Amino acid sequence: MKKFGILAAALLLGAPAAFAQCTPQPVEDSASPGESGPLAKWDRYVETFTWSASVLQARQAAARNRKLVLYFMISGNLDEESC
Amino acid sequence: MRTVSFLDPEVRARVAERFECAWINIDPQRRYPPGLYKGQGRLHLRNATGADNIALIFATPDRKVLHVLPGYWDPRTILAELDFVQALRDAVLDDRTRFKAGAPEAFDRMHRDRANSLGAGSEILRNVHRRLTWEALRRLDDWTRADAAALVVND
Repeated sequence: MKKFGILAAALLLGAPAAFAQCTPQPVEDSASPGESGPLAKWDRYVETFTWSASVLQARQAAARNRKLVLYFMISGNLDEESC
Repeated sequence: MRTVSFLDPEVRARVAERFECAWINIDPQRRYPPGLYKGQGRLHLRNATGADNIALIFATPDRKVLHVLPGYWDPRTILAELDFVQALRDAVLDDRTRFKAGAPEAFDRMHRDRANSLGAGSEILRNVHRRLTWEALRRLDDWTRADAAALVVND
């Protein structure tokens, strides 16, 4: 019962995103290196940025808006503190 | 980067205004031990720390890499480099983000001039600019962690 209460509180506080693992999401653009996705970790990384949901989406938006793409490239999985 | 540079209001504003942002993991199988930089402090990382595991890469929509900042960089340096990227973009790309005639020469000249303009204490960044030549220009797909790390190695 106590665990249920904690879980319910967490859900109410919007914590589900915090349970997301640092696991790459499927990428629409199979030719792209790596992955990009709406991971909780990276959404929190810079909350005021709008991170594209995929590399393809970022590239399409850049082409449409005549901008460059800024890739935050990571190699391997760092824990959140080290990022 | 998370707790310092990307929390800087000017960095956030300039990035949001000028770029479409995405993150990529080029080696998702690699795992680092937790607390890799523990004890180094939030404000005491040297520039280019972690050059072999994080990098900011500026690329055209068709993935041509224009500039790379391997590792951690302080907000002041990032702001200056964001301005450099903007100037480089204007010099080598047309309104449709395609390379202009004369782009190779402009690309090399601008990176070289930027390298030469950097003062003492910016040796690492100078190395980065010197190594980013048109000849070395490549598509994002071809970048490896070794490439990014190699940019900051002293001559």
